[in-house]
Amino acid sequence: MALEYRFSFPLPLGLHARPASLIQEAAARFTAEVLWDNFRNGRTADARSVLSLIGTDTQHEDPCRLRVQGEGEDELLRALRLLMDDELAEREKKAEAEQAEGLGKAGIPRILGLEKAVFFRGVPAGPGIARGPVVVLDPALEMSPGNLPPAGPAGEETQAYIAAAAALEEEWRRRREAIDAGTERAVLDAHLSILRDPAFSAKVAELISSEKTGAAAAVLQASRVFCDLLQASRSQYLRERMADIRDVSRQLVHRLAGTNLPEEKLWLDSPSILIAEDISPSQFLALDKSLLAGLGLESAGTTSHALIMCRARGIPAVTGCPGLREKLNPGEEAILDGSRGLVIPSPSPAVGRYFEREMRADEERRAVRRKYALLPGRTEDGRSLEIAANIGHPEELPAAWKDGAEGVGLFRTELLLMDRTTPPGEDEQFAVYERLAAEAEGRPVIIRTFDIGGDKPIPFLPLPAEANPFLGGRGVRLYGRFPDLIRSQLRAILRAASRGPLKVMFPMVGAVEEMARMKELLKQVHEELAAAGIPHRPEVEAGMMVEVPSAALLIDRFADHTDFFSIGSNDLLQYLFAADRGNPAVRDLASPRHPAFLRLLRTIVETAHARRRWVGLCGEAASDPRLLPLFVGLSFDELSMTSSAVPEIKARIRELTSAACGDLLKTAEGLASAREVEELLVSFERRERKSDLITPALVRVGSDSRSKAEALQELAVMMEAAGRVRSRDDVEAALWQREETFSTDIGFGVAIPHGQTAAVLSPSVGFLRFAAPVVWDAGGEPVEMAVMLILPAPDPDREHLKLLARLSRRLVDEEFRAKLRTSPDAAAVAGMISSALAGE
Amino acid sequence: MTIVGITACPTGIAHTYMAAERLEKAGKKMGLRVKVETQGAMGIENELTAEDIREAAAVIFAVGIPVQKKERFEGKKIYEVGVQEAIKSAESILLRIQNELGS
Repeated sequence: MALEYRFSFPLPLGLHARPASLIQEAAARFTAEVLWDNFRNGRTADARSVLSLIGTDTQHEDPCRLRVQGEGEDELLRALRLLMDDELAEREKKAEAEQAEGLGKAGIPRILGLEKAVFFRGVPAGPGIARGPVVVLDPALEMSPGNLPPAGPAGEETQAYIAAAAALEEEWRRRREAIDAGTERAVLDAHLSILRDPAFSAKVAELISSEKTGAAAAVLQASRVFCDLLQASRSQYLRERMADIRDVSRQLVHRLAGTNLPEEKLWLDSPSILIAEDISPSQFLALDKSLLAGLGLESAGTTSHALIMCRARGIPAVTGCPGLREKLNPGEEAILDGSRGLVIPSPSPAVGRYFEREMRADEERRAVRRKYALLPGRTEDGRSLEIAANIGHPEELPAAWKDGAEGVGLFRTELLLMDRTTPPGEDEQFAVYERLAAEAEGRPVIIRTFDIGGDKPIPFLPLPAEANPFLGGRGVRLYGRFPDLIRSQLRAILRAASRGPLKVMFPMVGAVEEMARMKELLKQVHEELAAAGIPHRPEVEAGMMVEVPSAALLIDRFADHTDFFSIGSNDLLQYLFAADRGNPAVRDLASPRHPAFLRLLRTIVETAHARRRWVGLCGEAASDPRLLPLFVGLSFDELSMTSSAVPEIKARIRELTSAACGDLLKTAEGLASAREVEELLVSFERRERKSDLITPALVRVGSDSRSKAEALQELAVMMEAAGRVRSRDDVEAALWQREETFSTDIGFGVAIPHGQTAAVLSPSVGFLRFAAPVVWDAGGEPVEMAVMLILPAPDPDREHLKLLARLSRRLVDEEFRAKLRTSPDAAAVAGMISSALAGE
Repeated sequence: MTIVGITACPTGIAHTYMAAERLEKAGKKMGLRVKVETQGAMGIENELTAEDIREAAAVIFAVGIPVQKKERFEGKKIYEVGVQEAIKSAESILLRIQNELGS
């Protein structure tokens, strides 16, 4: 006798994959049959199939029935009732909590957590935000049916499918037995459950018999049907199942259609986000870039050619996102945030709006940057400091010039060695360097010779395994072993230098003899070229990287053999402090703020200048605006950095004077630790900025924000646009952190979001008056105005705290609030708040 | 009647001072002497003296974090409320205390 249980479905998100798999697990423990009826839409499912259950499209509070018949039916029904009434909701809550963990991390907008959005996190690979339909580059799944074998009789196709599925199941089962528990086994289990899923095989059989499709085409189509179903639900877990279905389908298709699948063709016919495992430079070049809105890659390194070209063209890109091809459904709408490294499929309206606003803010940010880029690299008192770019590919030049770089301070040549089995020939190199020379349009370009060794293996260079590669064969030390490699590089550079102002620079020089040998080699190469009648420039400026502390202390002797010095701060720091920058346990010991490092830099610069040699710095430290006053104090001639940092550095340098920076440096050199120097830099920055707590730029009297999330976003963006913050994300995160402790809705229609973060440069007050009142907390009264108070941390001088305390006291005064509510414009509001702060 | 209070919120930037302001203002309006010590980001301000505490009929803690130097209030009648509550309904807090103390 059949038993039944009627209920209304308890989960707000409906019956998606996670609860469906719990039901399926329970059902699978018994032999009894279990059917699921949804009375709202009349669908019925076999409860032992996850896909079948999902296919009922059961939503929150749908009237449903479970029918159980067979052995153990009493016990099974009891288990299922418990699940429906109780456990399902409980376990769902737990799973969501686990998912929510990690959402609070930096760089992940809070809106994603609030909206319970599915998103994938990779590595930022090209700044900017893209929105559009997804095109997935995937050989098996993007095949047109025309490429598949023609359909035979339905009976044969069905048999072929059954045979392929059975063979695959057998193979996986054997593999599964051979491995212990772990990720791989879990993956195989998931795949097996799809392969055995009755709903999946039923769908395939149905397509074969009713649509007269071949088995392979039916598998692809069934995979699509179920993936479309899964796409609708907002669950990370479910995206993984989508990946499983695709993976299983791909393998089935390979069995059914043979492994000789045609090479994928790649084209876009409308603006799209392209998702691929990796794409080759030739594929990238073949793409219509005007239709490439964004690029999401699973496994490419950030220095892959395609990504370099993306950045050069301003196309947002994300990489390091495994499984992305399977987790996204071709054609679905997605947002790709290349600044934060996020891919968000099927965004909710609120998430969509948030990112649209981000895109608008990006646009404004770009306009400001274009303005800064035009500034000269010069201090307020007129001292020049060349601001140059570090690049690794000629494709990056246009972006560097657009960012305002005044030259290339470091052209890394290692890309020429990557992903190949033979060394690059002289002519190939010449083509690259010549392009640099031509496109530099008279600006200086410094080419660094191959920085081989260290931890980067090069397939065609037999480097011995060393216990400590960073203290072993590296850079110039290895050139004696690979004479042809360096000779061909220098020949190519001298030849290209006849077309433009190229300079050459040698890495990892530690001994004067090494530099002398390189100068000698340059001379030889010139003589060879001259003898052969090959056009070239007889002599180029030759400099050295200062990375080895011993070289840093012998600059005067090196000056006999070198035309300039460029400090490689990343390596010089780790060699000076004996601390690996890649090791989080000791990384902080090697700080560019350390007085010992500053003293060493002063020695280098003063000695070089005494010998009339110029000195630059091309490590990461060059792009840190907070360190800039020290570098000005040190009298560097050039700073070279990632080109995206150039506009901000140019904007900052013109606020500095050499005298103040010189004094600052002297004080810093006398301190005892990096922490003390950092505090000094912070207070220098604040003292010098002396900005007002509020300006009209921080006031908006007709804010279009519709939610707390949008309001906090708007405040953070305003802070950034006003140049008061390093990272707007940090401001938003600090405000949210505060909101989550307890709400900042103080009643009277006013909220006072506030917080402290190191990202803020000067204490600030921001003001939003909403065009339409905003619900600040669920169930609370809507808010008409938000007054933000944000302070830098740490916070050595506490003067502004008093001011904010005063403002806070004023805000509880009805009369004051009424004035804020009716004040006509931004300037008036800023004025009122300023006087309140001044105690008037 | 004299009432003393302490306000303290987690960041100590804003709520601490708003709550203090509201309690003092409400007291003035109701004809009570209310003195509030703030324990905010600037540390303790407007510190309650031993005499203030001795004379107080009641003590209000409007706090979201632990009170510093709590031992000063041993043996006193303490009303603990949320910082938000003090900002939004300072008068009814004082009224409730007034009623309970029967004056």
